Amino acid sequence: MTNVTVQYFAVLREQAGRSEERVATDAATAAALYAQLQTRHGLRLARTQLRVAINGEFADWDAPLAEGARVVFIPPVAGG
Amino acid sequence: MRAFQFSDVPLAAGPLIASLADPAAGGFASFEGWVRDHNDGRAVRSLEYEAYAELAVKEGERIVAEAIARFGVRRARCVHRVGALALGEIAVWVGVSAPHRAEAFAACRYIIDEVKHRVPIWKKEHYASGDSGWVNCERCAADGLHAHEHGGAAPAPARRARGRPVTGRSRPPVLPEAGRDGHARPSARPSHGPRRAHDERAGHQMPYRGGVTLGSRTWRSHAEETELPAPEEATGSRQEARAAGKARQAPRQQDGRGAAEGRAMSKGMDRKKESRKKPARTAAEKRAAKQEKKALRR
Repeated sequence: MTNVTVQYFAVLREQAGRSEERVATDAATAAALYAQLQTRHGLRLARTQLRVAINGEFADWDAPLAEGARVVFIPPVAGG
Repeated sequence: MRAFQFSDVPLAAGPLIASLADPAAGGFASFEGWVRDHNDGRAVRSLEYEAYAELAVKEGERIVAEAIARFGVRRARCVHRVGALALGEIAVWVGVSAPHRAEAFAACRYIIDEVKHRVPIWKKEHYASGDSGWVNCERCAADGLHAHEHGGAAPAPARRARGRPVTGRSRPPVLPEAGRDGHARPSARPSHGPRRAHDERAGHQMPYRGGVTLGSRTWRSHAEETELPAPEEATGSRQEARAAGKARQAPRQQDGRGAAEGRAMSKGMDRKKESRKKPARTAAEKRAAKQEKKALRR
């Protein structure tokens, strides 16, 4: 199991009902982690609608999850 | 002063402009995004911005650095609001000082376009009807698992869906730099096709397609240079885009011959292209093309 911290923003924060959580997961990648959390929290955005950041930088969905990683799923942005 | 930063208090342009003063700058351009009272046919009462600040500041600073490097401007910065905003407030401020106006305008536009599409900032609209929604996200969610790609693998369609309301907030006029679809970055339409006019909801995933023309070069974003596969388009609009691109550049390439001559020439080129290979165009397209030409003459 890998322990990671997941942060939620905007619409995902509202859907997950929290802005941050510690997760112990057997997911090997960010993509697999999102699939698990999507089920657990009933997140309604498909993964293809999101980007992912790991430790404060954009990352690939298939990047391996390291112990202690900070993971953020990024909904479609709307600045400006 | 950071090149990109957030503010949770109202912005005042004066001090921001002063911070970009530079003895080598002969011009300054700025863009202010204001909170407006409607969007997508709904009356808006107020807005709320939320950001993933750690990454947003990094990405925002990258964008400003790109603009400085690409356009050779002296100074540039962008400040974005977070928190609750009232109608009329400045939501985002971009300013650029440069030796000449062309670089200032181009860099300013580049920064705001890239910020809107790359920086993790989210906007929640509170409507007069009492409900609220996250811009670009609610319809995605409503679509359920109707998955679509926003990224570089997106398919070609270059045309905004006709006859459908556009979901986005800002619909720019036709600008030569950005093309008919403005910042909508039409080539990156999500994979379920051109009929779904939700370019805005795609948000951050849309590679910059417009480019900014400065001198005889068209600058394109990193995202486009490295990721965009330049897909074939079934609608024939690439030919149009090419023709428009040449028409755009022609007057500048004619330097020394006078602008009038350059214009005449670009018009001639347009006519040739049209007679040779353009398919029949709809009234809406013709109108847009006319506007584009008008913009060029200014």
